[in-house]
Amino acid sequence: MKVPIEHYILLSTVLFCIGVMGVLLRRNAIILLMCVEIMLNAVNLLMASFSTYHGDAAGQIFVFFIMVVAAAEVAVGLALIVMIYRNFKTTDINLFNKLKW
Amino acid sequence: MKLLIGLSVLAVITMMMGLFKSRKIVLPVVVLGLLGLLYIASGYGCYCEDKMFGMYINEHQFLKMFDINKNSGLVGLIMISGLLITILAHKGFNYTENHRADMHALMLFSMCGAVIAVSYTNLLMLFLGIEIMSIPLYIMAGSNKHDSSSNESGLKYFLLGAFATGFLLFGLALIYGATGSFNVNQIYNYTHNQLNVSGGIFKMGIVFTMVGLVFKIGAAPFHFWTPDVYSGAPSIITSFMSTVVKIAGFGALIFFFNGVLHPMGAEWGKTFAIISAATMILGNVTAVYQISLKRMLAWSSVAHAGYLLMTVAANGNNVPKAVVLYLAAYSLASIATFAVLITTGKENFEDYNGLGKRNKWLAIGLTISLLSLAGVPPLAGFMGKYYLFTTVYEQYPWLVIVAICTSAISIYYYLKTIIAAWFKKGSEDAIQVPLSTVFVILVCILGLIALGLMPQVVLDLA
Repeated sequence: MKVPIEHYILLSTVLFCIGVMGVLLRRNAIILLMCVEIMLNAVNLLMASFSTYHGDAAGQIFVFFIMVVAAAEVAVGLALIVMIYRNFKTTDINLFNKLKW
Repeated sequence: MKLLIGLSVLAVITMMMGLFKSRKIVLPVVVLGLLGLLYIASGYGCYCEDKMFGMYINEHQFLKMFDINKNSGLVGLIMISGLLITILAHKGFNYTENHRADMHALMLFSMCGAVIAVSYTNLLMLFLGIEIMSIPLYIMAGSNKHDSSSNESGLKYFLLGAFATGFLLFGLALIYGATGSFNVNQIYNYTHNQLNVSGGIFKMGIVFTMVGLVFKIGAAPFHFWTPDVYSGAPSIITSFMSTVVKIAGFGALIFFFNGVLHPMGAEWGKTFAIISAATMILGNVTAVYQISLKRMLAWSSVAHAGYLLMTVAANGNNVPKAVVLYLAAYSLASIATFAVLITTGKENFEDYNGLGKRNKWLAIGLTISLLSLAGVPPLAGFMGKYYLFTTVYEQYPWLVIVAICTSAISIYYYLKTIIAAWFKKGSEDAIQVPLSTVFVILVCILGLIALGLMPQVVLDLA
């Protein structure tokens, strides 16, 4: 039985929302990074399912690019978090309130 | 295409020079390379034999991923701003003496991304351009490792930037789902043929993409990261963020909405008008209350984003020219102001008291560039505002009124700095200005005056 496209859209929207809520609610920089990854993976799923739906390869190629960029982003992000941890001894973003208004 | 290959090769060479500890020759090599590339870039606009990365899908369908000729004015602006900031980096990178070459390389990579972001013809390249531009910036913003505010600025920029990327991508995925293509021509045809596009998916896609792009340029509901990141990052990086990155972000945004989604203007025009009004009011009013010049400049860059967004709302045809002129005026003035900021190394207004006595030329540079940002008549900022307002006036008279009122507010905080520099008493020690900074300030001031007197030069080129 073929799964209709709506199901994929719904699933990836739910995943995306989980990611967004995670970024907005959690306070640990590493968890935030993971939530951003969930958002990007939701997009990957959506791209792949639309790609199959349209019978067009461009969407799947896009997914590879998203993966590469996400990997680059994580590399940079983890390096930044390590640097922060060395200086502040924490990764809780609530403590970073030196810059305000 | 040659421009992009050249930029990336130059960046890789610069990186290698860092490896071999040839720190002294990094700056001359980068400057010479950029000058050469600027020469190549000057050939665009009239020249189209550029098929290297075009993909032949079949014999008749020629799908190019990007087209540098399309926005040659903005590409030129990115190159010139990048060149000026590179020269400024002679002093600006002093805080990271051992990683000078790496920083130059990152800046060049970021410029590659900026060039791609203003010249995409495929949404894949929009995404890649913005990311190639942003990822080096995350590193650069946090590059002052031992300064806690630079650390914080880097992490904030990274987390919020990645968050915004997620929104942008989700939007692009939905647009792909509705139209079945990433090619801008096909999306344009889709919006053109089905004017009352019924698909909710397509509209949701537009909304998400809008959120992502508006986040990147730092406009109203998503502006909160701008002042934090701009004031925390090292000054030289802030000057890069507020010029090159802003130009690229606007190039991408304007082409996406006024180019690709032009037929649907009636549906998103009002939203941008409201975003623009809110950005202008918030940016200008908050800038009044700042005690640090750097933070004031960050808020004023939010305000300038608001002025520029007016043109997106107007959705007109001759908009890009006014935008190029405005961005040129804004970039030159910002670079000159940041040059002064980097030379003195101080951020608060109090430190600028009596600058006129300490170094006359710095004070003159600061005065002229701030006057141009405020939009005082003989300078480029005024001509930029004038053309911007005339293009928007027909469609949104109320928006222009808001813009004029907020510009009046902005004159207050710009003049406050100028008055502090000339008439207030402060420390009397003379400031030594390195030759490179003098050159940059001189070029910016001459550019501002020239563009103010002959704006037609840029308008014809763009």
